[in-house]
Amino acid sequence: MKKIAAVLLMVFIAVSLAACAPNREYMGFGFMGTFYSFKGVGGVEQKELEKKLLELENLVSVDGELKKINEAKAGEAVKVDAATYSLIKFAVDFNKNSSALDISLYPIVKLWGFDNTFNENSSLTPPDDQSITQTLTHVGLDLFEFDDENMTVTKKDDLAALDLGALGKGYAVSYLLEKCGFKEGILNLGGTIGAIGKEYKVGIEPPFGGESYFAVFTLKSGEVCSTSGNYQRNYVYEGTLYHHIFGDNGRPVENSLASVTVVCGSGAAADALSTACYVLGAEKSKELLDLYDASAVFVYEDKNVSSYKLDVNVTSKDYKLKVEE
Amino acid sequence: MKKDFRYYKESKPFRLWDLAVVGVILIMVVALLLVLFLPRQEAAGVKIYYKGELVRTVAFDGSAYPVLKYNGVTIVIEEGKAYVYESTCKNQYCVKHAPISKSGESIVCLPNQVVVKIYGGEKSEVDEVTK
Repeated sequence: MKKIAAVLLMVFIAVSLAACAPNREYMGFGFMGTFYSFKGVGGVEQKELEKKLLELENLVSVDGELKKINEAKAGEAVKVDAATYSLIKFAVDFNKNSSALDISLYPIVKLWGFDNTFNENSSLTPPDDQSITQTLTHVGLDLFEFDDENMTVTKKDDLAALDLGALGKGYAVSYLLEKCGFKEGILNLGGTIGAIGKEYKVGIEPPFGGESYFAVFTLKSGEVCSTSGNYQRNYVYEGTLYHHIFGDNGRPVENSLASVTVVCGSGAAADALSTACYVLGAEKSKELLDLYDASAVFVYEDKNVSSYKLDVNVTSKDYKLKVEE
Repeated sequence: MKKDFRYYKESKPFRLWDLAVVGVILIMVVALLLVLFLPRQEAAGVKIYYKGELVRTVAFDGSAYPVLKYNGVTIVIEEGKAYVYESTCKNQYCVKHAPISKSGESIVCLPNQVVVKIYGGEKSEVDEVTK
């Protein structure tokens, strides 16, 4: 009799404990220049998550740790936070694999007005050729020296500057999913999404507006997906669209792509890859994607879609899917 | 005291009070399981958030729905769906967005920090949308 009572009591306690991992639904604006939402079970309270978001923002934003480097004079060894330093080094190594992502393009990004003063409501004018050529002399990772032991960065040019905008959100998503103790959940930081504890269905936003999504894929636990495209952070001047992803000529990349979505086990890599693959195009991206064990979906201006190693289900009849080999 | 002690020691397993205690525990367990695992009968409707805070909930109840305006975003609610009719933002993504009708679907106006979200009813096929 006592045994039965004990078993029942244990069941009761177990169920009570399970109920202690509460369902979470958080949402907020103003972190890392975008919105975030989290749906899941367990882990930290919203306040704690937002505190971590602010910390992360300081680590990756040009108003935080990077400001020390960007405002430093040539020859000055600048010490930055270990996390910032390792993310910079990740981006430098990435650049060795593919020059399509260059975090030293920041002077160009700024010249075009796509730094964090950019506001969807602002009116901008593209810079003239001369200022682009002039600004490009301050661009290049060879203008920086890295001291891994002391975690310092030394510039060779006063005006050289770094920007982790292409990796920051992905890095933050991976970091938060790892450190917040969530039992399961899906975290969306301005469209860069990570899953933990179980798989989730993720839609891809159509670059041309309309429905909520035009295609769906499965995001497994531990994976992060990131999308880059010309349809966000852009402006139209005299009928021409200027967007925020730049080539080494200091101008927005011109190609037939509207967006690229990348899925990868590392958030920073997923984020970096989505930008790089947008610059490279599908064919030249394959090797790079393989290197990071990632998969991707390419969306073209003519609404053709091609997927590389990602099982994607196109739900809109306006889009045609081709599977890349 | 002594007498009481002997009473418990010699007592047989099934006593009225034992049964009562087991019964109460059983009822608590069943009740808790029901609360935890029974699907919630949640009515459907629209939730509007400004700067991440819930500012308005409108249930789909067949009534005449108000046209709502928050920070320059005008939201139209019809039976079972909602959309952004106009917005002061420059990119107009929220206005171009198709009406939403399934649970979990949302329209985000990033410049104006307004989110329109559907709750309850038929679930969306996706958990999130990458952009």
